[in-house]
Amino acid sequence: MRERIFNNKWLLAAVLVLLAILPFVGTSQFLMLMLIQVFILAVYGMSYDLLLGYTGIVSFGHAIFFGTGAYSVGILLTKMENPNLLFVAFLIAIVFSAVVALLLGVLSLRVKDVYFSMITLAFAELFFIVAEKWSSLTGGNDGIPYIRVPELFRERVSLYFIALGFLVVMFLFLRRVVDSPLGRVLQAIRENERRAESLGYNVLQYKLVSIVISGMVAAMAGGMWAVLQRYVSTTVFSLDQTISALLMTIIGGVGTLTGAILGAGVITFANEWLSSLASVHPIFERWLIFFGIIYIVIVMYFPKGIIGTIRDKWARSSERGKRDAAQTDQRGKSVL
Amino acid sequence: MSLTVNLLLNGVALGMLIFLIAVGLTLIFGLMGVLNFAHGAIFAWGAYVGWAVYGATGSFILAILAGTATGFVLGFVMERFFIRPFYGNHVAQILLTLGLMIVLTEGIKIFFGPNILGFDKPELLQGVVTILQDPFPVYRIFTIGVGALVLIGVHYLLSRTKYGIIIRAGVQDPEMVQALGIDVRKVFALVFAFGAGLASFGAVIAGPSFGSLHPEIGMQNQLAAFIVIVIGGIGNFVGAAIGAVLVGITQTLMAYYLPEAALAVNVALMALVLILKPEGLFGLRR
Amino acid sequence: MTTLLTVKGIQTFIGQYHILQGVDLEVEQGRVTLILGRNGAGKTTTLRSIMGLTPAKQGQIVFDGEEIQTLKPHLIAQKGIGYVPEDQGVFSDLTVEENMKLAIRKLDDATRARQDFVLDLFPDLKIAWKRKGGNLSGGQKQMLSIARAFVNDNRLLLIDEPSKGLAPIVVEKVMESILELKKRTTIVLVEQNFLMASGVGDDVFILDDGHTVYRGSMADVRSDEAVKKKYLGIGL
Ligand SMILES: Nc1ncnc2c1ncn2[C@@H]1O[C@H](COP(=O)(O)OP(=O)(O)O)[C@@H](O)[C@H]1O
Ligand SMILES: [Mg+2]
Repeated sequence: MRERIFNNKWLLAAVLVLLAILPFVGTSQFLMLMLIQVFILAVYGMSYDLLLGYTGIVSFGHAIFFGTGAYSVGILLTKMENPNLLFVAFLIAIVFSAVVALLLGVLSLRVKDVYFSMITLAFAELFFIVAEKWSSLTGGNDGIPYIRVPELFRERVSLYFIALGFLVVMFLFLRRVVDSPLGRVLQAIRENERRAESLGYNVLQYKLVSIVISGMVAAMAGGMWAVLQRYVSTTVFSLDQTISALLMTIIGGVGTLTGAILGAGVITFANEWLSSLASVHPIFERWLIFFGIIYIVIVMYFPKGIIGTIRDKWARSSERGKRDAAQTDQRGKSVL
Repeated sequence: MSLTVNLLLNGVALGMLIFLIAVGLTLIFGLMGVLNFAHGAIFAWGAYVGWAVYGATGSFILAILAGTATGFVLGFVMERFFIRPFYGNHVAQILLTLGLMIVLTEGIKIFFGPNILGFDKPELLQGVVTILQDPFPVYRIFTIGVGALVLIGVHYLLSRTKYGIIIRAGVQDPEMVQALGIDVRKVFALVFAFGAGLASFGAVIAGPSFGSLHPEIGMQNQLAAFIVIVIGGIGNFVGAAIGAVLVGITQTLMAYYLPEAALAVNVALMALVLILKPEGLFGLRR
Repeated sequence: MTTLLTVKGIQTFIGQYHILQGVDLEVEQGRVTLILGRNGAGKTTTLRSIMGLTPAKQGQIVFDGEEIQTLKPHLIAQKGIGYVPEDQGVFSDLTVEENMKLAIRKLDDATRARQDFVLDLFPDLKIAWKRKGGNLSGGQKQMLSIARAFVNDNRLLLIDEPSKGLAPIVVEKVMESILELKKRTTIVLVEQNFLMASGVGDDVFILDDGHTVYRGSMADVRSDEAVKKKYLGIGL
């Protein structure tokens, strides 16, 4: 049963307990900050996995939702002048992102998959430019500084637990989605779109549902990001923001959800570490190139990412190797 | 009136540059179903290598040759080692070409630095001529001329040669071309390298026209090319040409009257085409 | 009589679906071999597997004494097999002339002679010579596709449901031309419509659910009401 380890409730619970006691064992402020970032980005990564890993849609505009969430929360909190209306800001951000996702989906999902990637890329650029040029609303290149958030969200330890709770809730929610009948249809679409269609499913509608859910979750992550940073700038709409979702999911393992969490950790910490090496050699300033190379290697040779590959390996080495491998294949089948 | 003429000519010049990028994209996509997200990065490498060779030798012709060769080789290597194992697997191809884009773009920053570099026009092509009592830069005319030549050349290649017939047939149904006994893969590799070469050729021409280079130059122009091929109908050469000129003119007009909205208008144009005619204005229904 | 093509127990997958689960064929030189079977039986997939377009995972395909099941489609075509797909595979953006030009592998005297012959057989094509493939009628597309397959020195033609979507009078014309071509080459003809095909077939194989379920001569099938009823949906 070792191959099931990453879906094993007990292992996940143990990791959760470990993370929960971390703030009380003298963990540095810095490490906690990093972990908060990991938690939030992990949610963002999982939202991308719902599209890429479970529906087989390659979007290059995922930053749109993250950015929409971040800006909505940032702008609303600033305009409402009452930080305690945070949840209202989130609610509006989520609804707004759902509308954006729906529009984007309706506009671009009707065309072939490759077009979709390209069109989402173009729309992301559009959002970036709007954020940059509509400065009366977005603050332009200066962004939105000094976002006021409730006290609970300023204090490091409480924010740590809020972020951790956010991750857990979102993980359980998405797990539920992918295991539901809806999720199974999405995976059928990923496996063979035409087949799903011939079975009578309205593929477009299912894809729309997928992108709307994904967009809402990504927007929440964006909102949390704004709360954490207390600052929003145009980078939330940048291509790099989309690329980071892609890297997290691919490196961790597509179609696993847990892969995105692991990917978020790997990327955040490796990024920090590589940047700190910049004083050793300037090439480390270009840390993205390392991720680019790793990413290519993974796409070419380990299309299931870290988690999928480990799962397979364990499955193969276990006694009932063959049958379990087939099972794993069913469950964690990658889009690649 | 003369302002309009001037803007139109500028628009055509820009359209020609976008066209050079779009041709490769549209042929590669139409033929092998690969949307090459690294195409813009190849463009950027062409521009930077051209810039470096121009700076080192002072010869613009050498710069063009070196830049074009860079793109050709990059395209060839990319097809052979990265794309070829994944024909038929669209998702892997999209993801792979995006990864190549990241690596190539970061590579530019490592080799040439992340900052803006100036790219001067060769002496011979500096200055202005008067058209309809209006000064018009010689370099723009050069751009339009070169673009028109390439357009005619590619058109001849596609419409009159056996290679052209194979490519046009392959765009519609590569499987059937194979069933007729033609090794489509070999043609794929050539078209890939050729398309990449055209983009980087266009890049060296574009460099002095933009006046400067920066590492993101590839992505920006690639977006314009994407919009062009959606508008023109993917895989459609004539569509790409018309679409490029259309986008070039819109972009120039917008840049003059309402610079904030230049890209927005093109994306909106693309959205409109997608809603009304998803196969593109000149595309085939499939 | 010599056997030109032998298909032995091929199994073909499309994605994860096991489409062909044991198809056998034997095609005799100079004859028309009919493949019959209801919609979805695997007839098209069988032809595509022979061409290497959906390669068989298991089993053997022997053409003229040589195993071809591992070859790439273009090499299989070059061995001398012409393919007329179900959708005719006419390039709509290419003129009739260009479609022919694309197909011709080597333009020698023999090929020119074959082209003249086939254009005499289908005079429509001569008239539409400069017209785009997309502007042809269904019957003309069928003729062009057959002409394209025949123009090379092909020893075997695989023709997939040429009657599909054509008016009966056009179908008759196409069947007549197949009888003409039979004098010069060997033909595998897929048909769903038994009545249309019964006039041209010599040998018959019936597929059902990815298996070869019957083989016999045309005369056998014609008189075997049980088989007709069971596999071809022809009742009394
Ligand atoms: N691309 C595909 N994906 C999944 N199933 C397919 C595909 N192509 C064909 N099939 C299935 O394979 C079976 C055989 O199809 P085919 O060979 O076209 O039958 P026929 O030509 O006898 O009508 C059918 O059940 C069909 O649904
Ligand atoms: Mg069929």
